[in-house]
This record gives sequence, structure tokens and C-alpha cells, in this order.
Amino acid sequence: MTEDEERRAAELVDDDDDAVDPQLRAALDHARAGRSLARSLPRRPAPADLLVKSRRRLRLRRGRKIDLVGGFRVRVEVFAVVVLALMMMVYFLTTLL
Amino acid sequence: MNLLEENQLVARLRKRDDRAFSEMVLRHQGVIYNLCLRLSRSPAEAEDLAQDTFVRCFLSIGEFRGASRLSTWLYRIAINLSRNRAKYLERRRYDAADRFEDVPEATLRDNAAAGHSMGEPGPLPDEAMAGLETERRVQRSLARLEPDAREVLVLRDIEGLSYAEIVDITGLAEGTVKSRLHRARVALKAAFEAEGGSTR
Repeated sequence: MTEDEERRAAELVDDDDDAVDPQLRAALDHARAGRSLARSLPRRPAPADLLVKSRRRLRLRRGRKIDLVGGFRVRVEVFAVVVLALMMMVYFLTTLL
Repeated sequence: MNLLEENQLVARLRKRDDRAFSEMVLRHQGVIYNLCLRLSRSPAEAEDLAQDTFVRCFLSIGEFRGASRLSTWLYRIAINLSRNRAKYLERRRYDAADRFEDVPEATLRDNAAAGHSMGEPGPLPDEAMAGLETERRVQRSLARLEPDAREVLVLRDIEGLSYAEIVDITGLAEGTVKSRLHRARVALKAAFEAEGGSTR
């Protein structure tokens, strides 16, 4: 079948029309059977915990954030590094000076 | 959901409102999960894809121009993710159809028992078993189609979208969608018969 014939066949199946040409009619029968099979698949309910899992995944992708004084929000990893750096700085200043 | 409500939801998503994210998931989870289920290899993979779709949508909402519905945007993301997943599995030579496992029988039993007045679910009816087997066979046949063919078939014949919507989601010309759809329908019938099913 040419691409034009395939396009026409899809439209005929959609409109539940038939073709005069016996060869095309056979192709339409196959396509109709395929469409019926696809339509026979039932809808399944989404898993009950999809929302909870999606929210957890979003949190992981965004990273947890901490509110600082002054309205700043930083990622928890950044916050931890800054705190560690400050502690080390204070330690060296107090022991060396 | 009307257009006004959807615009308000999108505006809240743009502001990174977590409650808007939950609302989006609750509104669209049924459609997106079923789309992913028919495009993927197993319910577990479908769930994973659906979660990824919502997260990706939320994180990239800035790219959403609002020219189409939010559901169309979600469809597009789900399809792109499933394409990427299919390529990844192809590289790992993962045979989709052989490893497809559908809904467990317990789920079907629960569904059958939902209308049962007694508390204890009865034995699985033969008819329901036959239906489940046919569904598994159709799903395995669907998994054997080329990803491009599977996408248009799922969008048109399972999701019931219009050609205009499919064009918007896939970026293909309408003529290409139609010819691909015809080939996919014929291929599904052939694959189903190869699986031992009968369409008579």
C-alpha cells in the first residue's frame, strides 16, 4: 500500500466506512480488528500511592531547602558546607591566634 | 477542568506551589498512568514513568508556553520519556514482550469482588480469567510494535485523541499520523495472532 492509501484506510476505519476495492477492503478488515484489540484494553486505576511517590521524587530532585534569616532559601547541602566552613574557620582562629 | 481553572493551576505551578503539584497529579494521574501503562513494559515501569512525567512537568513548567492544554504537555513529556526509556532498554537488549507482566490476578479478583455483597471474594470466574489472558496477550502484542507505531495507536485508539491533538503531541504531519496508525493497527492484529490470539 502507498502512504496515500494507508491514510485513506485509516480515515475509512475511523468513519466505519467500507471500500469498494476488495484488496483495500481486506486491509480495512485487518485494521478494524487491530483497532478493536487496542480498544479492548481496559483502563486501570492509578496506584493509590502515586501522589506520595511523585512528591517524594520531586523533593529528591529539587533537594531539601532551608530558610535562612533574611528570607534566603538554600539547599541543605550548601547549608551544611557553609556551617562546616564556619566551624573550621572559628576553630583555626581560636587555636592559632 | 475548564480553561480558566487550568490557567490558574499553571500560574501556581510557575510559582513552584507544592499544592499545585499535588493538584496536577491528582487531576491527571489516571490518564497519564494508563498512557504510560500502554507505552511501557510493566505496571512498575509505568508507575515510574508517570512519576517522572509529573516531576519533569513541574520542573520545566517555565518552558510551557500555554499554546496547548496542560494535558497535551503532559502527554508530550510522557511520550518523550517513554521513547528515551525504550532506547535505553534497546541498548541493553531488553526484550519487552517476553518480560511483560500485567496486573496481578489479585487485582482482578478485587475488582470482581467490588460488586460482591459478601465480604469474602469468591473464586475467579472463568470469564474474568479469559478476559485477563486476552488483555495480557494484547498488551504483549502492543509491546512488540515499533515505538513510533505504538504511540499513535495508543493516542488514537486507546486514549481517543483527535488527529489535531496527536499532531500537537508528536510533532508529526497529520498524513504521517494516519498512515502510521493504519500500519500500527494491521501490525497489532498480526502480532496478536502470532501470540496465539484469534480476532474472529
